[in-house]
Amino acid sequence: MPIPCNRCDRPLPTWELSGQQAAVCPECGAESMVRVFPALFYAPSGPVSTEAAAEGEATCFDHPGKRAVAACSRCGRFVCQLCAVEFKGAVWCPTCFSAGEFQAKTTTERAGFENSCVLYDSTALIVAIAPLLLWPFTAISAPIALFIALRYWNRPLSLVRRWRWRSALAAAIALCEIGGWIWGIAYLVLKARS
Amino acid sequence: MADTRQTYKKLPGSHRGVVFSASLWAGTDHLLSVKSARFQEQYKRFYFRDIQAIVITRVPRWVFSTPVLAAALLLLTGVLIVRVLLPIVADWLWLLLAALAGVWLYISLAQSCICRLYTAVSREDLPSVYRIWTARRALPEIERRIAEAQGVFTENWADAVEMRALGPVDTAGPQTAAGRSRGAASRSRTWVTDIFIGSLFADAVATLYLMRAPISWLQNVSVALTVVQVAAAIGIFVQKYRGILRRGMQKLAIVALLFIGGTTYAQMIADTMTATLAGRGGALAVRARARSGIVQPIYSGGAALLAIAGFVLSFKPE
Repeated sequence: MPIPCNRCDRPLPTWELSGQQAAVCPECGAESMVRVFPALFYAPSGPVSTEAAAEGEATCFDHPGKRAVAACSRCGRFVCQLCAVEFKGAVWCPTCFSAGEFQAKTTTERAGFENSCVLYDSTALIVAIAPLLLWPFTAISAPIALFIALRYWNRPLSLVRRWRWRSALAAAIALCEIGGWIWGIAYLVLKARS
Repeated sequence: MADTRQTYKKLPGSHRGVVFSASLWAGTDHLLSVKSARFQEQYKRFYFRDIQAIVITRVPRWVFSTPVLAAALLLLTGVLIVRVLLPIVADWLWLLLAALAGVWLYISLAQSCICRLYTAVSREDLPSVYRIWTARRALPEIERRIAEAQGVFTENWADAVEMRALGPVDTAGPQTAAGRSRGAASRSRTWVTDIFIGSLFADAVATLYLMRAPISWLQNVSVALTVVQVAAAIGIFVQKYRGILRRGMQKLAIVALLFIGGTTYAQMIADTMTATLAGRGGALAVRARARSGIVQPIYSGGAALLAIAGFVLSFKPE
């Protein structure tokens, strides 16, 4: 399909696109900035072909009839053309790749794989702040918030830039809430005794 | 430990909603679209070598970002405080509030856009780029990186583009059909939304009537209707989560809850200030109270507007 309008999904006409600044959709009148890149004109690559193994040749671990083309850089299993997963200059077998065993230790390496991340700092902050609306709940939420903030303090927060101020603030608020409870209970106990 | 800050560079534009937020980052060889739902971030990568096209279309976008909501709430609180302390200044603040609302309307209507990115196998919206000026700042940066990865055109591409398939091959086929069927499965209107909109209308009318004659039982009815609105809003969240309702009504429920919460706090602040100025000290009980004073017209008007928006959403064609 040629380039469609984002508003009505109808194709934008060639005479509008040739201006290269703004294309006006003849159907809905919406104005679009269109940028097309050479990747649109790349020839589509065909399906991956695997060769049958000749007698005596190394074969794929998962496909015994197929010729091995590489070994997994993690577990050493032979892989055929179909199974070989190339990533960051190394070859992985599907099992290692899906198991995430290659996922080590640095956030830069993680950056190539992760598609989601739990935000423990935000969770701790919300658990610390939200129950203030109904303050008796802070007796339960404050220790939980403190636990989350401290337990996950060293865990990488996000693939992109993110500071730890939420964890610090959550811990501070939780400590204040716990302090308030201790003070309140002590005050009531002392008052009852006197 | 390696530092991720060296890996990604923030690109212009970010969306900070009450619950959802989004941003766009440039890596060494790919764009990273980050969507966050408070407790979790989700990432999508678009490699510069794979991007076929970017289309930015000027469309109205009614986005309530956290900074805008915070500014509106702050100004509204300011108006309520100043109205008691310095009534003359309050009129100017009302004007300022109206002017800011006008600016927001203009920006939403005339300076907003959808930014969509195409690869051979995907077609994705970039939610962080939703204003024209943001798109104008982000686009050259992305273009430069794509040009480094793919090179640049030496000839006019406009004629050749007719012959090529942009985006996923089955964009107009099964995938879209599935998307449409999902869209059709979710409805604009259910019995919960009817109760929600009905209670908003009724509360708006009741509050309007209370402005003229404060009747005790009607005040209780108004408070009860507010409770119904909160319960119905929660019901809308549940139905949206189950895929019964479309997203528009959920957004309306969020706005309504924020509005109800905001006016409730505004009422408490106004009551406290009035009591303090009248020389009546002591803590005021935090309880469901009938709206009074300046909060009444604000609430009545706001609830009516929300109800009208809900009515329009209910009967919006699929």
